[in-house]
Amino acid sequence: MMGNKAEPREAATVDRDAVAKTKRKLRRTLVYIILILFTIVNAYPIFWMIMNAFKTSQDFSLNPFGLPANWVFENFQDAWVTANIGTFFFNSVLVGAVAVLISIFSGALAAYFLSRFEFRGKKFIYGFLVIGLLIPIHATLVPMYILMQNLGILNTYWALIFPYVAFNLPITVFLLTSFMSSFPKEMEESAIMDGCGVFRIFWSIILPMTRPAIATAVIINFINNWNEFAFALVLISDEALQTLPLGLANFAGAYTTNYPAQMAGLTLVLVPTIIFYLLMEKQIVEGMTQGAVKG
Amino acid sequence: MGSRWKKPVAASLAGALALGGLAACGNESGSGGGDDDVITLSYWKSADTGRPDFEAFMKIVNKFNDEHEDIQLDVNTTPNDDYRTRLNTRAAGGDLPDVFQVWPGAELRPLVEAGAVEPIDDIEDHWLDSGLLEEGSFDEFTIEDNTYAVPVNSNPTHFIYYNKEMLSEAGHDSFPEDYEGFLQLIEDLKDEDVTPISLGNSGGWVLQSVYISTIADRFTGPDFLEDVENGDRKFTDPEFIQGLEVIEELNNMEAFNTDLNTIDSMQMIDQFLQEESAMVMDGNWAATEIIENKQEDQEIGLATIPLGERNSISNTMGSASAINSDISDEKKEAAKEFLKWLYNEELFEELQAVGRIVPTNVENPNDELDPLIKEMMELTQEAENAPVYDATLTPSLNDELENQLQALTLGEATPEEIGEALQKEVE
Amino acid sequence: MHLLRSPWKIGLGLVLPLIIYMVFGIIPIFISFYYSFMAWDGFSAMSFVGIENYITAFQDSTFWLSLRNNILVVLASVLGQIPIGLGLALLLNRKIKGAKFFRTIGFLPVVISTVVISITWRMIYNSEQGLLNNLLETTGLGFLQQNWLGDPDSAIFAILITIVWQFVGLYFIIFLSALQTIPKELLEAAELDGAGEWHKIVHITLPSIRNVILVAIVLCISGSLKTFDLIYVMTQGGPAHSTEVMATYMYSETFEGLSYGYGSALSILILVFSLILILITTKVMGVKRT
Repeated sequence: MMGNKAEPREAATVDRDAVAKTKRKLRRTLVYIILILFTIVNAYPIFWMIMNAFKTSQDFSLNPFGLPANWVFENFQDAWVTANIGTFFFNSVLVGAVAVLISIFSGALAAYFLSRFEFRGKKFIYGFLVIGLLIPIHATLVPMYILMQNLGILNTYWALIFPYVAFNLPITVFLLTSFMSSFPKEMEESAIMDGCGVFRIFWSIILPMTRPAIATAVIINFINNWNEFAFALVLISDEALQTLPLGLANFAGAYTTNYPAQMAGLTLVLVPTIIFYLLMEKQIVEGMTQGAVKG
Repeated sequence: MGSRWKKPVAASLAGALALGGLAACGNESGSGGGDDDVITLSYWKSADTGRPDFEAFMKIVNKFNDEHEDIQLDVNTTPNDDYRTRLNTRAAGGDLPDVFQVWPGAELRPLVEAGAVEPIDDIEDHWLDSGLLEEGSFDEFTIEDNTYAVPVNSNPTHFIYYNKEMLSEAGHDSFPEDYEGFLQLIEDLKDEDVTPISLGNSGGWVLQSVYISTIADRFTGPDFLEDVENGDRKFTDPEFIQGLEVIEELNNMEAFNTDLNTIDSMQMIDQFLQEESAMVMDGNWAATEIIENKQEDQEIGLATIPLGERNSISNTMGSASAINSDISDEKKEAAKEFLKWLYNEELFEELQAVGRIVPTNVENPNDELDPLIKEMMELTQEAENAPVYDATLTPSLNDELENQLQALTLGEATPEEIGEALQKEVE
Repeated sequence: MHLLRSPWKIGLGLVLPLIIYMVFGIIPIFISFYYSFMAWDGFSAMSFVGIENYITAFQDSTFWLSLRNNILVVLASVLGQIPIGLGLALLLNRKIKGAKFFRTIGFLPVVISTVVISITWRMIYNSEQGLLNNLLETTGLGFLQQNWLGDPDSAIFAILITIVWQFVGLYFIIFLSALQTIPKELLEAAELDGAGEWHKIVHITLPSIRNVILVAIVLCISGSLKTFDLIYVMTQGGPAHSTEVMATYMYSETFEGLSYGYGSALSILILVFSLILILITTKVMGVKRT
């Protein structure tokens, strides 16, 4: 009798399992379909750009969407030489990296105080910094030029580094403050008991916990600096100090009739950004991969 | 903005870089320069790296330093589209380069009124005596009796380039002589299922610089814009409206490609070279591109729009340089020396050799010129000069005109409305 | 929150960012504010005109058109970029095959140069040989074909789609990093209680990152009101101003129309409008102060 009762129940469980399994399978398939569609939409321009970098300009204007008739490598060589990518690349990396370092370090410290402490004028300082999000940078070109002139730092790397820091600080502080304020305040209490100084707490407790947010802020900062054009155009006139976007603009002017060469230049410039993104993204999701053993 | 006739010339990147490297620590337009007998002059030029006329221009500029020990040139070039942003910002900071490229008429005027450029009347004779330039060549750079810049090439902004084979397939063995015939040609081409004229007006300047500057002139005569400025005539006058109506008519009869407002001037040339269209209207600068990229068997003809009683082509002078007025006398002398040296026979020859139109007949092995260029020179010489609108109107008025012309092609504005809008802006 | 016994340390922490920000961010915009009361072509001497530039702006139909377009950009961005970015982050915040690949793809448009984006999308939208019209044709939807960027009625919407596409990745990455801060224990506990996926998202995940979602919305609004690059490269605000936004209009008035005073007034207005919009949003959404 017992067996009689038990049997159908077992079957039902198997059934339910099977249903759940197919359900999960279906859902998984759906997820992949969405992701693949998304991939096509997102990657298409890149694919298109890289493909066209290998065409001659005639091939391109006859057949902008197809594969190259002949694979041409000259465009890359042209781009490297004409756009002088080597020098501009160095300048971009240098300016970008220094600006990111200053902006992230000082922004994180500011966010730490603004999120973990109570003091007079805090709200005002926070609001004051965040208003910077709203400043349209093109409005500041002329004043910025005059300012740099008076400070005597026109035509130096600093003429770019300072504005880059200033215009990335608001988003950095804004983002990091919101992350840091979400931690429970017990976090550093024991450390305080132990007599750790505030800077020590910042360095060894808060900073590591904010790693994903910091990585995100680094990415945003870096991409902004990497692509910035207007300040670079106005504040630097010495070609030995110019950054990549200007080099590419020179190059675009040189090859107005030659989109493929332009594509080759842009492809060369894209590679480092993707590598950089991959490095940073690892920081963002590291916690995830470490913790999620169960999957 | 950034119209094509303002395009020419820039430094070869390598040369400029080498020079730029030297000057990296110096203050470019500062007052210094007397330290050790060598005067350093900064020279700014809008860049169109890769174009043959620029290569020619800069080849000569870069020779300057080799031939001069007491004056050193620090050349700086900026992509054409961004040159004005950079120059205007420096001007606002009161920090213009020593010598720099300028454009005629309305763009030069504010610089002159602010006292930022130095008159060069005392060296004008250098070019008049040698016959390289004529009195009239300086007109556009003369404001209130003073001359402020030296140009080198003239810049006719209106030609019709046509595909001879496609025209004869539509039953036209020669280019029509009158407007009626021109309209008939368009109808015949449509019957053949080709776009009659390709137009790429996404930047807004083609309809203004290439089309209306010549088309309106055929009705209004060359003094119209000056008269409007003085208040003697108006944009609402029927002559100007007639000019706009020509564009409206062409647009309404579907003479253009449908994507005229979304493609640029380069793409319109592409369409023409790929024989999607039988004609394209563009300035003299298009000739080099067409010669370079046309297919072997393509036969290209050249004409101007057959319209009105007079034959005129809108034209302006280009590649002009002016001197900063806020530099030491010593530097001014050096700058004049440089201009005299640069704008010399060799430069005129070089530019003509690559297909730019220069005001005088410099000696040139004419056989080496492409027939299209020769034809272009003849057409230019036969025609009267008409002003180019964006070389004459104030920037904001020109901007309004370009937007109104776009609206016209979209059926959002009538010629009368445009006339009124422009007149309102004038007042 | 802690009270610090030695406030000089706070001063020490804040002084560097505040100085850089003041000198290179605030002072220039104050100078702009000053210019906005002047008539100035950039060459000649300035002359004081009071609030005339602002009056001109309010009577300028192109300015209102650009403001309308800007508001459309804000709406499309907030309603498009944020939900899609959040959805993607949720979808890819797990161990599924190829997650790393998809995460990179998700961020890709943010790193591509605006020039490439604008050239490709212009070709996609082209009325004669464009990909989109061809696609509609072959799928029998030919009646939907448009002159996407050439027709002033559709041009701004075509631009909106491109803008949403371009910046989804930015919010995706912000949300992805926010998801890492949710304590694992919370989710595990819910799992033990038998909570389904959906339940976990609504009741645990979203409330935990609520702050970051608000931050993203504010970033999205401020970013949208400053939109410049893509439109400038893709249409230059045309045809006939139909895709003009405040920043492109300000730029062309300043550097092409040579009206520095008027351009400065426009940029101050951009700032003021953004401030109003953000204040309203934060009020409505009831942001908890940190």
